[in-house]
Amino acid sequence: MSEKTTGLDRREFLAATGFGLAALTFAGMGGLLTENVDVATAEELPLSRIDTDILVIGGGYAGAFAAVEAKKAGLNVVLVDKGTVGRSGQTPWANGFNVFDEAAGDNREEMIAGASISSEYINNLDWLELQFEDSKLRWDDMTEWGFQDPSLRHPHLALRDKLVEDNVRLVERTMLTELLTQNGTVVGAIGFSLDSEETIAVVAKATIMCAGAGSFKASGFPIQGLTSDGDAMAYRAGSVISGKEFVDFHSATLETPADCYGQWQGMWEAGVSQTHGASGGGMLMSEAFAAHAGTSTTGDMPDGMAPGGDSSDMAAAGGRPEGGPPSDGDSSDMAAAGGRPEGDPPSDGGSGEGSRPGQGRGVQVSGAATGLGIHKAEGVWPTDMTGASNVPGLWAAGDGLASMLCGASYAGVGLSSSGSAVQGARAGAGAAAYAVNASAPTVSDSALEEIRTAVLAPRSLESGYSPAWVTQLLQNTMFPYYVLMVKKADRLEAALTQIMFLQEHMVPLLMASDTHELKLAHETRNMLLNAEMKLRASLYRTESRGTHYREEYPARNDAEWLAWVLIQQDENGNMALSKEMVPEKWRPDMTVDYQTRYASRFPGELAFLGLE
Amino acid sequence: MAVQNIDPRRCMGCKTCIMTCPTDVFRYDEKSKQAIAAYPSECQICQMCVNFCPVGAITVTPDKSTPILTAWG
Repeated sequence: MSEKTTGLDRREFLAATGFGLAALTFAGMGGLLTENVDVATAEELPLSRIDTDILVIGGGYAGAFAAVEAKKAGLNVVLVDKGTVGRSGQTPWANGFNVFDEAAGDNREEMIAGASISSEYINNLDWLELQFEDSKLRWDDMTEWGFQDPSLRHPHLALRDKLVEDNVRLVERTMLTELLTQNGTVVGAIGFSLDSEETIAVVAKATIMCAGAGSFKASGFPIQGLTSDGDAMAYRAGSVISGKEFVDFHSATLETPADCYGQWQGMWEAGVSQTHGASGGGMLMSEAFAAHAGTSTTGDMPDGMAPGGDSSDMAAAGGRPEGGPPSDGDSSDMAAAGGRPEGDPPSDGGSGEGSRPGQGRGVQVSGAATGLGIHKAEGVWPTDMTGASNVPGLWAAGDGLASMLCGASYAGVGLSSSGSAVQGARAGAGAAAYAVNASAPTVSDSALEEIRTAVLAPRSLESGYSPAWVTQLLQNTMFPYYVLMVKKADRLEAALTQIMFLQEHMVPLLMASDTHELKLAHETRNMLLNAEMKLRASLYRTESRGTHYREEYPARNDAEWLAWVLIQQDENGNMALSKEMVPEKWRPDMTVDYQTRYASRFPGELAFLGLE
Repeated sequence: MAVQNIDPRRCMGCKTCIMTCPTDVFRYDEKSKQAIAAYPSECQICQMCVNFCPVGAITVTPDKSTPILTAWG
């Protein structure tokens, strides 16, 4: 704990990054490893500094709405995006926007029941309440901003147009890599521009993390720019993180598994339309179970499982909304179709006749997007209904906020985009209320220097490992189905051993010869941290629930695990896990027998419980 | 594989593809005043660049291969 009054928390930062410390001993060994063809020192990448009231990191739905809302308070707002607003992350591919509208036939009790069944009762109904209150307002905002204007090349460019109109300062194609902390408070962030050789520091009274989710650059799904940067930055700054044990994945074709557009063309072309209700739409875990059993179909599996899918037995028990959502079909239809769209299928979308978005022509395997978490159920753990983290000065919204609007599996088509919009606006208001009364951080340029050196460390290495190679090792460790889809302690621990070795040995030697590779180096480091979180959380939850399946604990354990897993750095810099029980009022009716309470089955579940 | 090329006869150097690509494949070549596919290995085949390019200069194919894994690299 150093520099508490005059500078930033430097020593903590350097210990956390791992970057730079090995550089001196490794330099000069060139010949065995790839040499850096363009070494640059920190002096060659000068500091560009921006002081503002509010920093928003990420320019999707959450970030755009956060910035617009904060701007309403009359504050200066800077939004930094690794790409450009409306074209980075998952936002450009959203085509369902979940709206709660009683005039359109939506029903609160039905939606609460549907969301809770889909989430397997570890969802947070306070955040669903915000959807009831705000989702239609956010849809109306989007409409006012012109996102349905046919002259736009893409609907989500309306987000960017609105920010420009509102005088939000956009800093695009810039990767922020570390939050700045001072006296335990977040006071902005630092990173670098992709287009110029310069470091960029944004010093702000409040920071709103809207950097989205992350995977491990899996092929076949348009998320390779999403590398859990927000979660990693927040964690390193002391934030509590949650939701890491649950998984999402999508289909790819065996013939061209990297072909995103072949899979998702329909999403792109369909535009954005309203969805209603919450009746699941989660992954077909049965596909992974079938793969594990060595079968080519799910037909032989015990009651093939689509979390949050067809829970007709629960409906009989009074817990399931009848009739499904008004427009987007029952998830059991998706299960029957073998696909897993996240929106209304266009009439002739996808790349194959009759195919749906996410299911192009050809033989499908669930290999795309592997490593994702559940929308609205992963990221910074909120301490209030504005998405404030446990670290003063830091808010989060969207897919980087563990709001638990959804729980152990996805609760409803379109909740991701509208949830991000709703939460973004709330976070913008919350952060603005804080910033209005906060004094400007007094961060000196000299205090930024040491952090800047660490951020740029991969550029200063004379030889080392390429980020692409380390990422390949990470993918080889994390992608096979038997690590995160069908889990068991020995395999999780084996993968964790590999990941920790990569963190400890490879990260300090990640090398970058330009800003593109510097981005890859930081992304690789963040993905490795996310992998550690996912493995440790998966080991910690000794039950199965939703998209989390443990072979040796193949059943829900309501007595112990109607709970959220919380991850936080301890005082020694190690990853510490704990759990917080779901409040009694949101738990399932325990008088309903188990097989009715949970209609879908995990392999081996009933035998484990002595129910067969 | 993945992003194939930018047709120099069509590219007018508007930088739209650079602004569009979520994985930073494209960069601006000051000499030719045109975009180049500087980092094709990062292409995720989302075709956003193809959809946004105002002059249809970019070709992206559905196939992609990854490097052979080496002991160090």
